[in-house]
Amino acid sequence: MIANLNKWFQTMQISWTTLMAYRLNFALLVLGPALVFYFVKVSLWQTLYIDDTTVLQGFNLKEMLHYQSWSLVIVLLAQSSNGVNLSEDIRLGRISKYMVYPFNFWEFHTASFLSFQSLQFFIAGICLALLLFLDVLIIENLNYFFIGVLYSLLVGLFWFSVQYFTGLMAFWLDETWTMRAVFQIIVNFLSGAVIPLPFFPEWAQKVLVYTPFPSLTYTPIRIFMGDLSGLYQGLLTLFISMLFMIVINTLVWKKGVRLFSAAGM
Amino acid sequence: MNTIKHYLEIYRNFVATSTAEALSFRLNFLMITIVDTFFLISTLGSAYVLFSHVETIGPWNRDQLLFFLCFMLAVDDFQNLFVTNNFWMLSSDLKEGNLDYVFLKPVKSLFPLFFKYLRIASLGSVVSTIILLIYFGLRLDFELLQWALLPLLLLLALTLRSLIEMAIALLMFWTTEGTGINFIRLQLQSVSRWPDFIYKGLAKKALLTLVPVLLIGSAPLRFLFDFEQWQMLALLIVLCFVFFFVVRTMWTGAKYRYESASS
Repeated sequence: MIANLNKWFQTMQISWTTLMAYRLNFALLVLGPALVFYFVKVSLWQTLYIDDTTVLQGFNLKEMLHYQSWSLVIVLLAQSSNGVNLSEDIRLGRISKYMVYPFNFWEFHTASFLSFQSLQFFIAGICLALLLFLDVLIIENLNYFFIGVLYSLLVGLFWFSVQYFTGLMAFWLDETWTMRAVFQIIVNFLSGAVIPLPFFPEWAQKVLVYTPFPSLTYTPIRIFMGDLSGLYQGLLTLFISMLFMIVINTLVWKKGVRLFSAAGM
Repeated sequence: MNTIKHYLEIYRNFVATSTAEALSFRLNFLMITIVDTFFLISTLGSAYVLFSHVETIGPWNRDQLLFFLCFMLAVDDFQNLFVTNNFWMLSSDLKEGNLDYVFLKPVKSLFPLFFKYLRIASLGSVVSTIILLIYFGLRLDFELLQWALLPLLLLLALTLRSLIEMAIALLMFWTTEGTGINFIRLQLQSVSRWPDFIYKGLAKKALLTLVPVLLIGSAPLRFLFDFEQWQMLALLIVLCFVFFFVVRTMWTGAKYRYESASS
């Protein structure tokens, strides 16, 4: 048990070193997209609100800026990992080594994800501190804030399970970025990351309730903003979705690895 | 004349190779079409949702903004079709030393560097975006002159976008790892997908002059909607020349930075 934990820790350390080897590249890949996304959203909403007294779907400008700022924190905490390395391992035939190592393919990539997530946690913390300092954000309730952080980390795990799935698609697809892009586009649009869900037509809101998308951004934002009403449904949706992804990933791995042929073996 | 014929012949081969490759990986072809379709739906869908709560965004009404969004999507699609794949390939070619072959060929190296790989799968998206662009143009009651200017303005926008992104892509020769540089391009694209009037202050000034991505869509369409607003378009034309020389100058420096992986 301890020996196995040590392997996880060593893998995380290697991953930290790799991520930090190209620090500028890491910042451009992780921090850049989230900050630019935030900048565009804030600019857009400031234009939509003619003055400070305008209220749209229950949000005034200040509340909308809070909403978008929490969205930035959640994106940084939960939605930055991707399955690029994983798909490259498959496409370039590097998974052969995992067949002989005493450390599984999923263990290696989950440990790498955890190391990435810890760096993300640190970056999100700095961003949050900056937003609080600039008075763009306020923490309504400290208990709700910690619940929101834990919930966001859970979203991060679900996000990883989906990225893991898209990575495994490299057994069949030459390029897996297309699947990641489709997922990202759908989530950005339907999870409330740009437009809060009350802005959607009523029929769309009713449909979205039965999908996992609101649980990924809208629900954690509401928790951070002091509204716990969606917490239990969000948790249930996340757990069911994650369970589903674990089953799917196990089946896909078993099927995919049969297709794999290692060159030079 | 012979030189142009020579380059056209080379380009014909680039098109043939890219088409053959696209048709060999049919699932990838389908997936790219799906990505483009989802992107189109989410972009236009966002605008529809917003306009169900407001009458205008800045000075523009719904049809004007939707026309702008389709114009930007058309720029994206044409660029994806003709140029974008080369930026991603440059990143890997630099690391793997594949540029040795580019330098050895008896053509100006910038030509194969930025025009070799086409993304044929974007053809479907180009067609659908053009149809939508015409639809929203009809809703805006465009006159003959506006229709005649539209392809020219699209070409100008595409030229500036491509030149800016070529300049950014050449930074890969200095940074070694190119994925981050490609992400800068993508972020600048997302900034330029909204009109210039949503941005304010220093950021807006920088995005209109230093890295003039806001000119790509806003300058042609401000002119198209109102011919008296020609100043931004004039700036766009000037900056096309400026960025052409920036790319040429950077390329001279980049060639000296290149280290062959095979030497």
